Amino acid sequence: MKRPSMLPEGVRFVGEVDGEGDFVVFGTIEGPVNIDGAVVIEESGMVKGHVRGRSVTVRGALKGHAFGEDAVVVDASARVVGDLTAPRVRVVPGARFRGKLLVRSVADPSLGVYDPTMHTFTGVPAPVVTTPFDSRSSADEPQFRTTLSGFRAPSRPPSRPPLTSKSSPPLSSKSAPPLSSKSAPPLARKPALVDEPPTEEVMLDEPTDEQPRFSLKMPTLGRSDARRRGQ
Amino acid sequence: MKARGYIGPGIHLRGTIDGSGELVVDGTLVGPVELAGVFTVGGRGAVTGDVQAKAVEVEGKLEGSVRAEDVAIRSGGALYGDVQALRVGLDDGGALHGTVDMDVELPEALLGGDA
Repeated sequence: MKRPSMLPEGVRFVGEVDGEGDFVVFGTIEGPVNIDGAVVIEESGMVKGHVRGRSVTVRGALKGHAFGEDAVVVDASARVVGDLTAPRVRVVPGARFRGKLLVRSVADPSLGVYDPTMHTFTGVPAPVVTTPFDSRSSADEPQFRTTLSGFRAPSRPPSRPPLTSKSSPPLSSKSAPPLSSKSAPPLARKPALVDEPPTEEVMLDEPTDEQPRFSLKMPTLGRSDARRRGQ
Repeated sequence: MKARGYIGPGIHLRGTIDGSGELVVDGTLVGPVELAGVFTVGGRGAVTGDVQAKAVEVEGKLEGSVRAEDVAIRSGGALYGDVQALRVGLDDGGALHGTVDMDVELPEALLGGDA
């Protein structure tokens, strides 16, 4: 068994990742990820870019599409803005997700031609799947169904604004019903979510320039020496 | 204690790396590295790009200039580029193609004039 690759927390990579082998992200990646293996974005991990893997598991934040040859799993702690495409997609209750669910093979011809380098489908437009599971026979994937129904009907505070989040009150508004309201236990468990506005928007902690950049304390090397040499 | 990062032999990275912590690259990396920690080019690793880190260990192949407090080139490792460091170690069997710049304090008697 090959040792999985791991980008640690505190390390940021800006560029393209590809190759084979499992890849676990605790740090930050800005750019496309194309791996023949399992890709896991852990809780501290952030990826801004499309991710393709044999399987893609998100526990942290993803802004971009996820394509899984086998499966895509969006875990309870995940925040995802992007479409999920895989033959098996699992969204665990508690996850915050905005995007399309395309539960089919990446090789499905109705999706158009999949371009693995661009992580997009060209040719035939990808259909919007609104209710992909209601018409399915329950014998199909029972476990799936349970998870999905949990995801689709989360209990919400009654005073919560509608899904069109643009009209939602600003962060500072005292009148905004906090997510920690007792009537929303599944979402309120994580303290990190308490301060977020009560919208369906997935809040991504996008890395900014204000992030503390490390500075390497280096003595001035060789300067005096060079001067001496020049004499 | 932070975990040590690892880029496996099958992984190719094209882009910049920055941050803190330890990182071992056994795959290929094309692009600059700025790491407040130990950066290691593993025995199967190939890195092309300038590296700035607290310490740099080369067990594989590194092409680019290196700036660090400590630089160690292990047996089997090859560094193509200039090194600016406080301490440089070159093991038997390691290769360094480039210049080394350490802060050398020469005795007074040897200062001035040409060698």
